Amino acid sequence: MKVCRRCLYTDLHPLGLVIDGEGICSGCRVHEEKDRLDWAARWELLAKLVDGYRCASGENYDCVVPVSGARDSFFIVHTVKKRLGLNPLLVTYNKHYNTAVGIRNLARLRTLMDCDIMTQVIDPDRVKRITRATFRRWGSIYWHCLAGQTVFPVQIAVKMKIPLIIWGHHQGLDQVGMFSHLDEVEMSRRHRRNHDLFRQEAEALVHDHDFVRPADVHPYRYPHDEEIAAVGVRGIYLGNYMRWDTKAQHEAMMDLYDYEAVPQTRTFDTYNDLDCWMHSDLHDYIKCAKWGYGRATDHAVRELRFRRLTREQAGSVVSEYEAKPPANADLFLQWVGITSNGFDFILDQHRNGKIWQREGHYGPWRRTSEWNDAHTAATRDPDLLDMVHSDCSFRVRSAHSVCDDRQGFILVGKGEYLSPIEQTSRALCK
Amino acid sequence: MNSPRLVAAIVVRDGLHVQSFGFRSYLPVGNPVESAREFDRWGIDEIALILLDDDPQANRRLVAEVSSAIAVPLAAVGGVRQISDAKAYIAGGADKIGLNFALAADTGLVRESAALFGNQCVVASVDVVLVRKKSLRWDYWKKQASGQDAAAWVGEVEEMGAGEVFINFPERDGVGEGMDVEAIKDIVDCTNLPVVALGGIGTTAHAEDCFRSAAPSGIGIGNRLAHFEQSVLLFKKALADAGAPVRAGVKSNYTDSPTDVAGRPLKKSESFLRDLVFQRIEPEAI
Repeated sequence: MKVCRRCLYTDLHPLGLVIDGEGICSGCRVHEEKDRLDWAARWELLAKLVDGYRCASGENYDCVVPVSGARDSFFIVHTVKKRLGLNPLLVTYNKHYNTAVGIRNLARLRTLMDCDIMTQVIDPDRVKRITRATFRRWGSIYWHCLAGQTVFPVQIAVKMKIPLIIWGHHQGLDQVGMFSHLDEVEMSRRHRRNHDLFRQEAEALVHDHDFVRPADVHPYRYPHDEEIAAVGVRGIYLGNYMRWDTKAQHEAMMDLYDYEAVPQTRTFDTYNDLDCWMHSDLHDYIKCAKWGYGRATDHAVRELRFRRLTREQAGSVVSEYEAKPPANADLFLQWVGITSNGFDFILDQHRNGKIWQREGHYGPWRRTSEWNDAHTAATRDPDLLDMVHSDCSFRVRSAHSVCDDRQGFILVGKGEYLSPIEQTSRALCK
Repeated sequence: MNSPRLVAAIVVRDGLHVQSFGFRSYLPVGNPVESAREFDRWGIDEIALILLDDDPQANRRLVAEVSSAIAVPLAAVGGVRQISDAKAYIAGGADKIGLNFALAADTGLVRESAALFGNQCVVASVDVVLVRKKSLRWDYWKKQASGQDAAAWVGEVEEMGAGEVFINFPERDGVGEGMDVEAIKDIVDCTNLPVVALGGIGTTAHAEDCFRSAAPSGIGIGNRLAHFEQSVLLFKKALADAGAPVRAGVKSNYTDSPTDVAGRPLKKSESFLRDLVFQRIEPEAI
């Protein structure tokens, strides 16, 4: 096991990580491009590319844009609609673990941007059966979210004959440097299957033991090659053409559109994934058990590479947040119908033996000496970046309402958004 | 004469399919089996697994796993230190084994492999660099030119029993600015063996140029194939549109799609897309 001398990632990263002769990882190397490339010229490439996809007759949308109640959705739609002047069809997969903040953000998004939106809400009973199956087989409570988010936009593009899908950034590129920005990588079935779905198609979930039938996984099936080719569907990533900086982008969107930002359980980032009760909570706790690190590491590494956190600060913020127990596990267990004991029993079978070892048969899990030694070795001779920003604070802005209380997941919510004028007129009416 | 082959080069390092740049730096793409499966479905003519790892057991397992996931011929290049490695690759389903280091270090191994499996099964992997306009053999382990003339070296490996040559250009690896057509032509002209050339393809025009001017038996593509969906189909289509000889691949619905210089699809006409609303699109089933 090796740890990058610059960031905190190990070569056990589930997306794959290459550490070069100087001890620096591929993710850090590709991140260097952010300060080296001519982004104005890259924006021109994007503008030229999307120009070819404008629907001249106006009878169809120009592109499909996948959105959620968080994760750069405002910035993506703002860029596509306001800066590129396209007419997008927004699509969103209902991840079932919705928070009120996420519902409000999504309502604000579709109201303020004047966009059409299509939502896919799968029958909760079916989602629960699938989630029990994916947790048993792969230790994942997030399979249906990943599978749904990555497939619904493609299905809509194929059905509605809209050949362009515009995504935000490519996670593999940002975290582990899977591709250079210059590769202009596009969405692919391979990436989804390989990195999101445990190297299986959705059909692999069909099993009598889990009560999952072929009809249950139908909504998660990727369109076949011929359908993609007939429409000519391609999915491009804005991050290849813009200097992607999620922190700065969210802050700009808070100023422009009142994007709500709230603290989360297991990460210091108050902007991403706040639409989900599980993401920076139980899902992250599971990720830590399986891979040895959680979202706090992902976020700290990102901020470190942007030179807003020193390596030392990043390390301490990770220790602080990754030690926190999940706060909303009970919501999930109640929803899915698993006991806390049963949950621990299954999770322990998916723990990585290279990272975790147990004291005795029933004792607590501790990091292996291999993990600790690799991290200690990396701190002995670190590659320290010069800081550019002295401050790495994340803002909080919340229009708190009674729905924010921890009552359970919100399957469908109206998420009323009132513009300042409407607020005034309503106050006057009273 | 057969149309030239399009060979997908899947470079494997630490068990991962990686993008390779100048034989020096690498970016992680994912699981090699997943990549091979896609390239096969998209109609590639051959897959070359370039194994950089020094772990014979892992290499053998991977060759077997890839071979069971694909239908096209598989060349397993690298990691052959002794005849048992070669036997394991073939038993695992590889159609050819590729030798590089062994060519210089252990000529007995090359001869033995050729005698055991036939010359057609033994691929000589030769790395070439240009030094003062002369093509020289590049030493993979020392990471420098060896001083030996590349064409003369190809003659030697032919005599040892190799039945095919893969030539690669470390200086062009991952650059995407075109192939060294002249050097490729020199080697193609001086040997009777089939030659597969790798290194430097960025646009479909680069491959077309090499096919026309050097006429190798095959062209290898590495990094580019991982950048977009159904890249093999689109690459072949762009070559066929330009009038270059390509082998018929699988059924493609990209026939009426315009493509850009890299072979990526552009938007089809609006009237075409409108009419498509009323058509049922069947998957190909054999």
